[in-house]
Amino acid sequence: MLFMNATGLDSKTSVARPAIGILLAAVVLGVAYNSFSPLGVRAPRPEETSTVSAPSPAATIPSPPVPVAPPPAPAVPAPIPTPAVAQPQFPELKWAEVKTLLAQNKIVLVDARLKATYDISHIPGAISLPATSPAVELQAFATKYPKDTRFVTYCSSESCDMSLTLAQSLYKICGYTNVSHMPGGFVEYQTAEAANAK
Amino acid sequence: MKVSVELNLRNLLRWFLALVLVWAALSKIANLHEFYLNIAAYQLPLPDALLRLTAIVLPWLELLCGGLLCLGGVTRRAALFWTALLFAIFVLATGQAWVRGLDISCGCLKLDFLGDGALAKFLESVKFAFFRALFLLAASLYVFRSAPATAHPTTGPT
Repeated sequence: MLFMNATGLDSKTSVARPAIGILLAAVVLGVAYNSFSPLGVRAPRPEETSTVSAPSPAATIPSPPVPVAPPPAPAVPAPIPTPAVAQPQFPELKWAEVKTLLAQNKIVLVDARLKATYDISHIPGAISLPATSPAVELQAFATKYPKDTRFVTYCSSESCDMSLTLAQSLYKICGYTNVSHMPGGFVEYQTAEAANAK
Repeated sequence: MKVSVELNLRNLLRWFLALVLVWAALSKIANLHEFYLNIAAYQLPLPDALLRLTAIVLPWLELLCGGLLCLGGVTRRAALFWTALLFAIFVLATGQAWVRGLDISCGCLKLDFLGDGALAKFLESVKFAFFRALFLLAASLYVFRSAPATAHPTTGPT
């Protein structure tokens, strides 16, 4: 190792201890900061499923009259502005807009929640790609759709940030530049479709 | 005279390395998730958990090394050791990305103040980042090898 050969055995031991100390300090500081930072790196969160059922169980919601968009969708010219390269801003869409685009097969709707949550209930036509997916899975996903495909991501509700996280991943890792998200998420869809069903 | 010149050069490089490390660290700490995405874009054959851990720890390692490079004694040599190791890893990471033709931002330093023009794109490219990391590796190795093994009254904190 570098510090072993540079100045001999004495300096090896004298450098090794503080070097280990620096690493441990970096680990402690990094983990502590990450846990408080709103822009921190998040591990997969199985407990996210508990946020999905509000305001009512998903399975009890009648299926909305929305045609299913067969993925993969063809490349469609997109009126949504392309996000800036340095700090991409992902356009926010309401369910009413998403519903129309989905019916016209102009978007690929992506469910950013965990697969288990998706399996319980999801917006018809949506495909599952959890925001916590490892990079290798995102790269594999990127091979399935053309680069000009228009994506809209969603998660549970306004209170979750998984749709925005997935939008960033689709942009950064997969190289898609036409990505929007639906902040209202599954709850907005449920509420709107329940009102329509009355 | 020669010793004095060498000492000045060493101190200059050390402060330069410290500045680069602190700048790089603060750029990453501002948005750890974005840094994680930057690392993932390198498509290294590493488990995702290791990429996440790296995104959490590496910026703080850079910040500590940058701060400790300004101090004297054994902590400075330890910081120089980590600095050289970090730049060696950066050389490998950017080098493989360049060879593979990955069109990605290196994610090394925050250069937003340069706007979105050709200069910013060039400075953020992996090709430029590779040569920059190579230079910084050489500088850190030079400072490490010429730094005294123990604190010296005349070369302490400067």
